[in-house]
Amino acid sequence: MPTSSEKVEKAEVPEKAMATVPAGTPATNGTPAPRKPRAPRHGWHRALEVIVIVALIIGANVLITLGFELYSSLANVMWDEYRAAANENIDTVIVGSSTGQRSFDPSVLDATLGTTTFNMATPAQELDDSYTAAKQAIEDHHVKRVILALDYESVSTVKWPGSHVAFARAKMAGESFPQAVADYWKLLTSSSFFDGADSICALFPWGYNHVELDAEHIATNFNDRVSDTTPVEAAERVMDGWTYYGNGYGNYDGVLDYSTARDHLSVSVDGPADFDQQGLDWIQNICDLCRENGVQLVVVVTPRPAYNVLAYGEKYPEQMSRLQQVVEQAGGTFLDANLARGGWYEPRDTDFYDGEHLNHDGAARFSQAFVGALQVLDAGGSTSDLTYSYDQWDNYLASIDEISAVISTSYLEDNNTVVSAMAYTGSNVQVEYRFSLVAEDGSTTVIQDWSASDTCAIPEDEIPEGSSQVEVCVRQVGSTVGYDRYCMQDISG
Amino acid sequence: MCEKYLKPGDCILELFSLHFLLFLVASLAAYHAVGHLARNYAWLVLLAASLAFYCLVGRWQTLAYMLACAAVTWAAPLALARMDARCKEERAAAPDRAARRAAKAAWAGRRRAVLVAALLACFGILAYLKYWNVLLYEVGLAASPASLGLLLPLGISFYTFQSVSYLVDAYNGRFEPQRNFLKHLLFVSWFPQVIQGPINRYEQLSPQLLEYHEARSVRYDRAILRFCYGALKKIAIANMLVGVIEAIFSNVTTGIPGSVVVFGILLYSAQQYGDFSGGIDMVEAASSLFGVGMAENFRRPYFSVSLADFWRRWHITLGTWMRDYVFFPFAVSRPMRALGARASRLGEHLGRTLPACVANLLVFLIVGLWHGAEPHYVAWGLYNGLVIALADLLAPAFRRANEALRVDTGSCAHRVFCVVRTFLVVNVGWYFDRIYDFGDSLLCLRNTFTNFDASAFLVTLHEDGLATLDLQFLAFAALACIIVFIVSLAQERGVDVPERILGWNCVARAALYFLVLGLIVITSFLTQNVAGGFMYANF
Repeated sequence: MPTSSEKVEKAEVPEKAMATVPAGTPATNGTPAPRKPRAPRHGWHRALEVIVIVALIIGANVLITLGFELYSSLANVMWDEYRAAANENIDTVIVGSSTGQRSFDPSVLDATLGTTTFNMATPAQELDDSYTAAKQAIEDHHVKRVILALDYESVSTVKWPGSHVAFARAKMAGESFPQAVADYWKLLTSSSFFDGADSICALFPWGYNHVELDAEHIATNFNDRVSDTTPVEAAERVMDGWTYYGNGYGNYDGVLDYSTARDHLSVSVDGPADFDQQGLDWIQNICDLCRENGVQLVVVVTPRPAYNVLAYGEKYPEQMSRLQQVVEQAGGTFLDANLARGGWYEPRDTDFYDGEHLNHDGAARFSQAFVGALQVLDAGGSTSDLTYSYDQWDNYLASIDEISAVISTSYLEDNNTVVSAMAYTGSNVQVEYRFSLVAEDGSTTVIQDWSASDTCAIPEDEIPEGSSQVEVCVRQVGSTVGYDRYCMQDISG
Repeated sequence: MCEKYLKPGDCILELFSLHFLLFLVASLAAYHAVGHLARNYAWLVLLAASLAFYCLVGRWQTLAYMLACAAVTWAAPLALARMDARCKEERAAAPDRAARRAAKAAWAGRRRAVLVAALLACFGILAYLKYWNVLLYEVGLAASPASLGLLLPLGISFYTFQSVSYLVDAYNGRFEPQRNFLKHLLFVSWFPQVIQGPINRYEQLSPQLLEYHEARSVRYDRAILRFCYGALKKIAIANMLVGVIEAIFSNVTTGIPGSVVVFGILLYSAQQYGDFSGGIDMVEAASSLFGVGMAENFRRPYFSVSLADFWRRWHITLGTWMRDYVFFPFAVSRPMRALGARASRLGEHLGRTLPACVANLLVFLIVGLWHGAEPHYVAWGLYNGLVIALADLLAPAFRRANEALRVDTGSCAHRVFCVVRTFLVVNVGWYFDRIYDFGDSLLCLRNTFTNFDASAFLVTLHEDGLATLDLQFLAFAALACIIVFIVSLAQERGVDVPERILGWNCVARAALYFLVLGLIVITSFLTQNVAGGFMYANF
């Protein structure tokens, strides 16, 4: 009989104590004998090697950055134009994200108010960058008024490292080398970068804000950068339909197609996130900055189509009231254009470029309305009557008398494809739906005529082979129009 | 991989970050500054760095658990040593042999009591913090596996196992116990090991930590190369794949096609390896910057020729820990010896292997529980134990079959066959590891064989929310996998890859480094930036 030690020798367990092999020891389980480690090099030789390798990597990085990093970025446009206006007497600046960039036309404000306004808002501008922009304008021009343009996402959790990098890089371009290095170091060590891979990857800025990845765009970008082309000229050429109107403001002319509202919803499938405390803290910092410098701060929630406000449900007044509290307690003025009362500002359907942004005409109309608000403030009045308060959310809902949009989804249930629709409208509006199957040739067959039901079950055998679409129309009850809004839902047979 | 069930935000500092690099640089500078002035005290810098790192990465509030574990495993061996001395005194003073034997037995009992008490203290804390909530949840007494809000200290499994190995080895008299608590605390808290191991042994690690290593004796070039290799595996493979895997397995339906399941499991196979071995490479590299070599934890596991071989190459330090502290003690225990004796009546092979098979089942049950208390982890552990046990029991039958079929077991083709076979067996195990519901694991396994449905592959992935672009971006992960495969293959053939690369000329090395850095950077853009990383977006 074997001994117990013999038994365990046969056991399937880890054998050799690999744990005792020091790190870096070459593997020795292969057949060929491992090569002898190379002889150690002299110190100067190794130092030279390191210098050459680092220089080559930096050189490659610089070359790729020249070709890939977007010269026509809107952050670059803003900072370039801002530097060009260095000798102008700017007294008002607008900071914030793209919603601010495309909601305020400085020329409209200045024409009535007699001010000189510069729009420093840039796409996805983070609040700490808004702080930086406002601080820079206060230092450079002693501005009297800062308008901070926000939307729900500005203070919720979505982070855009690319925006940070683009903003910092564009700002650096006009700075002295030590200042540029200091600014970029500040970015790398900022709270949102320092603990993560972005703090290293941002040393390779070409990945954060790059051209479209084809040879033509890369070559054009490279040429623009090394030629006399200004960022504005490059941006107008690269961004189809975008026009620069001056003082940092540029916009598009397109109009939102409301049948594609689902694609323009800002709320994710997980529902709206609560506001980020860090974001609220930065707003507090901006308020403090303005107060300490005797600058008037107006925080504006920029307009968007009603459906893209209603999609947040009760979260909207709940979270926005937190924001309002922070601003007003710090002495700023808060204005939510989405809750505007009819007498002050009523956006038209055609004012919107997409679910979040105004087009140029829309920006002009909103800017004109906003002039009225600023005049009230300048006269020492209050703007609180211009909008519904968040306590009056129900009144706001009741004030909406049109259907803003309809969206749909589909799912499988008991061998049926169920199309479910949702109309975004006011609380007093009664709606009815109609569902039609759309054939490949575009012809439609009504499968569920006008009714209050917002779902339609389609048996599997009634759906043609391949992919099909269902047209969902919605209108107010009692209306005789063909429809108020519609959307298309893809289904598969 | 960080400990499972760490609350979000617990493991906030990434190894591939400026923060960690600056931390390393500062620690290195302090280490050498102190080392030059007073080389005998340089280890204090390592201790300070380790405690600072623990507070930076984890939650400082949980430092108390580590201190408690270190205190228990420091004090108990000292008590054991004192007992040994007292035992010797008593035995020396004993009038006869019977009295000497009685004294020895009495002190042996007391020593065992101290050991058991210390083990209960260490494992008690671990069990309470890691398993209690999950256990309550599984029996319906808690709302979720984390509803009690227990803070799981960073690296608790690793430092507990490492401390226990010190305790048991000291109990067995393998070395003189450490009298200086701070030196022992450094062994327990050494910062590169607290995030994800490896589980080091005292005799190997502690002398290195306490000895000062001059800068010129350290191979920084190898360390940096290994750090980047680890980052490539972690970021370009693991981080790139995790989202796709999550999309596939987050909502398993009865109709999930086998083709999608197989795809998800293969990705998980790469993700697991990239995440764990990549992280280990990075911490090993960080440790070696201080001249401290930690135990190796991976040895190209996907080149294994059997599941047992796989476990000798995957998470090696856990395997050796289990071998030394669970397998051997259990396999040579009296009941197992009796079992072997009884089984030998049915055949010599059975008599020799059955105790080991039972011990293996126990070991892998514990390995499963080590990963988590949920049923699917237990199933995963038992699956591994069962396959290894069966392979061991049926070894003679396989041998005879090979002889009958005249299989050349030494041929390259046979080795490739064994590697592929093992890969498949390991991947079946991943079903139970990755699919968090045991029923879903079985469902996916069934669909793999009965409902492969390759035609529904793309449609299902799209329904799972994966856009064509998401799948196209997997090409970056595939490129990284190819690089890792080539390196691994060369290492399997005995090539010292880092040394070979370091022998290249500067231009070739710069090109390679830039390629690797570029791949890391691009994939980091893709995975870190929730909103459109490396996507065209005009900011």
